[in-house]
Amino acid sequence: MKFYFNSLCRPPAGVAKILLVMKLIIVLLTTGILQVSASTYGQHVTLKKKNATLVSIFKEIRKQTGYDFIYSDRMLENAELIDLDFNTVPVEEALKRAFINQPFIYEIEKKIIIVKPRPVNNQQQRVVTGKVTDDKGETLVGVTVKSQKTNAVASTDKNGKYVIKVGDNTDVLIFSYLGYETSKLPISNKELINVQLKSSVSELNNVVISTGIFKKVDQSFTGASTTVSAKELETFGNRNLITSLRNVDPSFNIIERNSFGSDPNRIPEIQIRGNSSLPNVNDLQNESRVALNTPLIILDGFQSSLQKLLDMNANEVESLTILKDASATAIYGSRGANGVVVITTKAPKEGKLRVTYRGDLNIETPDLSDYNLLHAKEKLALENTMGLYNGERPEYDIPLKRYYSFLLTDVNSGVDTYWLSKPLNTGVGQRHNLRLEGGDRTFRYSASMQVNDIKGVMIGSKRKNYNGTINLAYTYNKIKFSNSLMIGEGSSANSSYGNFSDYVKLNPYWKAYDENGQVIKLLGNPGNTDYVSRWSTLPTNPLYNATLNTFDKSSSSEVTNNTSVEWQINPDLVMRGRFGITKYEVKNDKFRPAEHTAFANYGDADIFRKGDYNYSVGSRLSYDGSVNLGYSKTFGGKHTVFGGMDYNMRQNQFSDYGFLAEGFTNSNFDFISMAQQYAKDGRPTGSEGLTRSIGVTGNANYIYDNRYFVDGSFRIDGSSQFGNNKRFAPFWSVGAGWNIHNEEFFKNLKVINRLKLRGSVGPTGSQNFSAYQALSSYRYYTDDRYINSNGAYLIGLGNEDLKWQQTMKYDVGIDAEFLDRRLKLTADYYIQKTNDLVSSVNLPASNGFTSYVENIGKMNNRGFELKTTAFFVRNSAVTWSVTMAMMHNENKIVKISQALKDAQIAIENSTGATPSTLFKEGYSSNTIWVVPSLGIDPSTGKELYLAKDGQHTYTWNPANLAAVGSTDPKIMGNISSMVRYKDLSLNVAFGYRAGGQLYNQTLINKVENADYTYNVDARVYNDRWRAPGDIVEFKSLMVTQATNKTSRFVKNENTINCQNINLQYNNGYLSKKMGVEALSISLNVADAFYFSTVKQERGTQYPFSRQFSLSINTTF
Amino acid sequence: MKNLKYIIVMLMLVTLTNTSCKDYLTVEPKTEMTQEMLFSTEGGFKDALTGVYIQMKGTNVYGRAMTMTTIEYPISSWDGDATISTSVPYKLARFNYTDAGVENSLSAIYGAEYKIIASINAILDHIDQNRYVFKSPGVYETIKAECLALRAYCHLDILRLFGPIPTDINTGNKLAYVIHLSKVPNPLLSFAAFQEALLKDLAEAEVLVKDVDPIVKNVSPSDSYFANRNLKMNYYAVKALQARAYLWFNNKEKAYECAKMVIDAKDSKGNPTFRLGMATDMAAKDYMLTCEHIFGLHDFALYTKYSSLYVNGVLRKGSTNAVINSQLYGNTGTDIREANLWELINLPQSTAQGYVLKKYKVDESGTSFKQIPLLRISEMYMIAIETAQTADAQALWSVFRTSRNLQSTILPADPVLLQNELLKEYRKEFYAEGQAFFAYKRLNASKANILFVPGDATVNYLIPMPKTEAINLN
Repeated sequence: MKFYFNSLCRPPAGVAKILLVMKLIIVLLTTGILQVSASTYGQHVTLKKKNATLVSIFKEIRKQTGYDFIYSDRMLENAELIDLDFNTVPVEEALKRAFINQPFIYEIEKKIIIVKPRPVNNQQQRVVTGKVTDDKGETLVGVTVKSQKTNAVASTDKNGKYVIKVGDNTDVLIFSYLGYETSKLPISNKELINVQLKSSVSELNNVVISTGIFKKVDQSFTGASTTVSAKELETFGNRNLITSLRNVDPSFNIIERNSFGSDPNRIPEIQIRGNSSLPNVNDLQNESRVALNTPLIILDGFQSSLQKLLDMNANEVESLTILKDASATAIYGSRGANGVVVITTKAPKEGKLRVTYRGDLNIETPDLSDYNLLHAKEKLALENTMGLYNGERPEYDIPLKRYYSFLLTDVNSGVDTYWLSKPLNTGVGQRHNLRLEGGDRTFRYSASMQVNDIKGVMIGSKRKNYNGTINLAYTYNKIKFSNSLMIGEGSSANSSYGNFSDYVKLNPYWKAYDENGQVIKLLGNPGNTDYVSRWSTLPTNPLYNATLNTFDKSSSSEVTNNTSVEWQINPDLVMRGRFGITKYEVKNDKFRPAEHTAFANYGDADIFRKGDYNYSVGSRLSYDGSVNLGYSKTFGGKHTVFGGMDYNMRQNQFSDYGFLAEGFTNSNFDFISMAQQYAKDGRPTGSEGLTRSIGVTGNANYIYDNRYFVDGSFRIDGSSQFGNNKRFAPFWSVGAGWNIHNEEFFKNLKVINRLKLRGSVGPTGSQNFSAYQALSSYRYYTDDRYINSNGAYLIGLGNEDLKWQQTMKYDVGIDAEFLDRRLKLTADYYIQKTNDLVSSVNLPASNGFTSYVENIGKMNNRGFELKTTAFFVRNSAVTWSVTMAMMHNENKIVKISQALKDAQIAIENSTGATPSTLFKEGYSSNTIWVVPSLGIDPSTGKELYLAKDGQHTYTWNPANLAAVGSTDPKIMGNISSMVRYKDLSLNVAFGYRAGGQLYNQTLINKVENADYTYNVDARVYNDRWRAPGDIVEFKSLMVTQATNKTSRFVKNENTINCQNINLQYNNGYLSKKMGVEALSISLNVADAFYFSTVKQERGTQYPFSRQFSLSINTTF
Repeated sequence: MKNLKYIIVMLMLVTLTNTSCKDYLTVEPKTEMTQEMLFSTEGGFKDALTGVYIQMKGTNVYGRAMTMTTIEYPISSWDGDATISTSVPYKLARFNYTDAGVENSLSAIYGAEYKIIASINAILDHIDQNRYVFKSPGVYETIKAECLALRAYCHLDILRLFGPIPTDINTGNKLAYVIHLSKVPNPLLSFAAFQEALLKDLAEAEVLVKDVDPIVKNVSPSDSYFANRNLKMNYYAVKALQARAYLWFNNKEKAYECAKMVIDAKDSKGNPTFRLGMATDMAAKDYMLTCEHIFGLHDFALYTKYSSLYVNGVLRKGSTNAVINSQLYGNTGTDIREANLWELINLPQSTAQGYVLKKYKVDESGTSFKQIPLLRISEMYMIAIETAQTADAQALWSVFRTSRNLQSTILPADPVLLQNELLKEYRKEFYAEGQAFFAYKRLNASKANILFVPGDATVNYLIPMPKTEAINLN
């Protein structure tokens, strides 16, 4: 405690000097007065003392001789205790003896003895070198080495070596490294000191969690988070960062959309711990609700986008951290409710120029294993059974029969077109990455270039990115300056083959090409009009459009520059300033020439309207600046405090607009200026927005004896998106933890190596809503006027009290390691209560507007996450570990506004084969709402429904809609297994879902409501009711009335998916032979297979794909 | 030295945090304009008021529902759709207010009227505190008066449509008189309180523009903003609206006084400011009789409206002249309305014929006569005749009959008979202008006195409160 007190009160150097001078003056004055009697004292001293302090000796000498001493108390702290025994020796002699082995010298001036520190003799400057390793012998880079005497500081290089100037033999070297126990070694007369640092508790404690604003040591972090290293990302997938991250931590959940398959241009929907937002009235049916639950993406401290995470150069990533609970996300205040993903990019390492190259060859093949369609013969037979070739009267019947025999002849001649393969190919993509880095301690640099060419399985569907990054780091004294410039150029194109579903439905008895290999425009054309009773107009071949000059492409460019300055004000206090600016531009071009089948029905009057060009551009400019102050200090060995302050300012400005031009008579002229005119009755469309926000964050952390720790955060957030009266929002979190393994009574238990309990609570917010929602704004009429004047009208009733959505997060968690760390476990239980959901509120019509936006809804998510890793074998040659992650999330809507309920009535009452997403109080937002079915009545072949009142009925009535299952699985997660033998490692990762339900769209669309004019699922043939007494799943073939959403198609879903297989050969013999620093070769298979209890067509508009890749990574 | 560092750090933080956050966080949209921004200039106020006029000619209000369609259906002004038993016009003709379609079309009017009122209130909520932005003389007064009077105009129509019958003010809906734009639900007022609020707005408007409005001063304004006063809610329109309102509130003296004042208004040459239309006007294709408009809405799309509603016979009455000429006009042969306002057309895709109204017939190009009348001098004559002393009434009646090219008749002395005579005139005069239904309702006219009423109809003037008012709030 004394040490603690003294260091706090230690006056800064300048002040100490002033104090010294003042002391001197006082002493001089006093001695002047005392001078008179001085001569009466003797010049000899007699002393007999054991273990005496120097001060007591001084006092004694003064008493006996009258000599005065000038010294500073602080200086004498380092004084050695001494034993003295002499009789009447001269003062000089006594002093000489007392100062032996003391780090001071003295001078006598008249009768004043001035005590000074012993000067360091430059000519005798000693240097000590050595190497620092951890308890396993691995070198430690960046260990701080400090000399106690000279205060010199050094750090270990990449080989763990250090060089430091030291004082005399009594000097002590202090080795400190985050996560390791500080080691103090006296140097005595040694010149080489090798040190092995002991990990302070366990290796996990080395982990530093980057929250994007402050860095936290995992050991004392109360938050729930997952940090994924670059190495892990590499072994868990090769598609993009998003899927790799999902494969590592299932709580980073990609909501799979069956229709989009593996479309490389589709940005996935992500949720962390369930959804915390609901769409508002106007967005119930559109895609914008997807973005509502997207987590906040932070790239090196700056807000970024999901798009960036998809497109960025994965090789530049050092680590990814997913922040989940209040303790981890409260520092993001109004943006943290959906969870936060923090990306940390690699900082340049010092050393001589190093070049790293990575090359990937990615092969994508379509996965059509879930398609089960009829062949030509079966299909034509089915059509015949259905009576499609029977006419009521001979004049219809005869041509139909002729047409049937025409088709049959084709089939018999062997026509059985596999349409599924027509728009598909094996996508061969490649990725090359080159990184250069080097520099010395003061100036380091890195530059990297990447080209990533992704080819999808639909022909022509692709995505190509060029990324360039330049990182510079410069250290001057206590100031570190770093700058990162990232440039990305992207281009993407959608397949000109259109929707995959257009091919799936085509009848296999149609020929795609004629004898000359030319695409046939009209399918099943007999060359006469026999078909008219079957087809009013013959269907067109979608392949035909692909032969035309059509395109649907976009290109984008993004420049991001992030600058950071770090100032180590003193060993405990760091100040950091950051400024980031991002400019993003995108352009979309979509062209269809006049020949395109979309214009086939245009009449003569519209002949010059055929062909269109859709053009749109968008841009975004955002900047983000912050000043950050961090303080950390350990007192008395047992108390560690950390304090941080952050001030942040952001602006985001975006705009986009587009227009449609039409009339492209010649398909060769695909330039937009060749258009005949703008779209009929068309007008440019567009949107723009500007948001600004300011945030002040404070964070404090106190750790006692590495056992108990508490964490508190506070943030005040101001945003232009909030109402005038609620511009500033407070957020906070408190957390506490207990490292039970550090308790005395636990230390002897060998079974448990680590046991950390933690918990946190706090609110965070989300503001993923329209930029100007809070304002009462006017818009000018663009299509109306009064006399000769233009007028403005009020768009809506603003709400000056509108505020952020707030999610209260509760989390308790445990981190444990057992059996010599062979078994690791992390478990979390959480509750997230979202209050103040932004939603429309009804108003009486007399208010002029029927609704306004208010914070009204409430929603809860609760669940658990569990992750265990077991090392079954762990020795120097072989490692085998299995990791299992499991999560469960339960979503429940607690309250929604009446306006939202009213807006859903029409959706609720709608008929149709697909259940609509409905939000109802007391149910999950992923509940499947269908009419309960009792199955097919064996006697009639009709479906029996269960009405609300318990009656059985043949009539489908939307009033009977009930919650039949939910797409939320009871549990979902990953299982992965890693085997390493010497330099070879194999990692296999599976994903699983169990206990949820799925509405089998294939069964209803392709079996039950099957349109027999087109191809159908094979089950139509076998599983439908034909005669009384048939106990089958599907209604009678002859009941043509469309089936509406019923519980018959709600199936229990249990799925296992082989997400990734990675085989890697690392370093070792080969790299030695080739003379390179590092070399690794890896083979990767993504989405190898998929098993599910629900048999439905997967990837309807775009098929799913398997990806095989070969990568080479080398550093030289 | 070390202290200095701390000081710098603290100063930097303080400076940064102290930058005016509130200003920084206030953003201005580009495609939109905040209220504060719009109402920071005189032009902004003008634009907001123009927006009100644009809304008034909307299809749910005076551009269609409150003049030509919905409001005319209960008095069976049209055949067409009204002959189909599932259609809204058919049900409205039978006063079946519970039908969902009827309910929707009526609540559409209700919502649109209050939306106009909300737009007006947005202006009035800002006009006094931002009075300093008005630089041109008279603009503040006219804008404020127009707003107040338009607010009264819309409220009066809401009251006339959804409120009680004036002869029994205690039965029927209470309605909101909204004077502020807010999200707080408005109290529903008693008939008397509503009347008071309405007359107060009109009185205030009158005082504001009495000496300012160019139409009163009889000067041709140099500021083009003051052109076309009869297309804006001018001073005389305020007086005319007062006349209409007083009559509804059964204050005959005041009604007469106001109506007479407008009738007697003279321009700088001593001619009546608003004169009754005559055969010559009809001959000049001014079927609308724009000279009579005290206040009309300019609608540049009137030709399109005429094409889509009348030319193709969507709105038509009778297939022979028996209906219009005989039943409506009584086969006078001279009445300029009978002679000029109707034509027989061949219905498209049909062999049938139909009588359609030419009142809104205008040329496609040009701006002539593209007006929808909201207050006409002929209505002032009707009001004055009903409320005046016998001799004055007879004199006015003669003037009116003459203008319509009819022989003058002796007005019945019995007030009820007089009213019945006037009801017939309202029917002829305001066909497709939305005033006839109100005339019937004001006098609680019996079924026998309602022209064209279907035999199976049960007359009911009390329209229920739209469900959009009594919705479930959260």
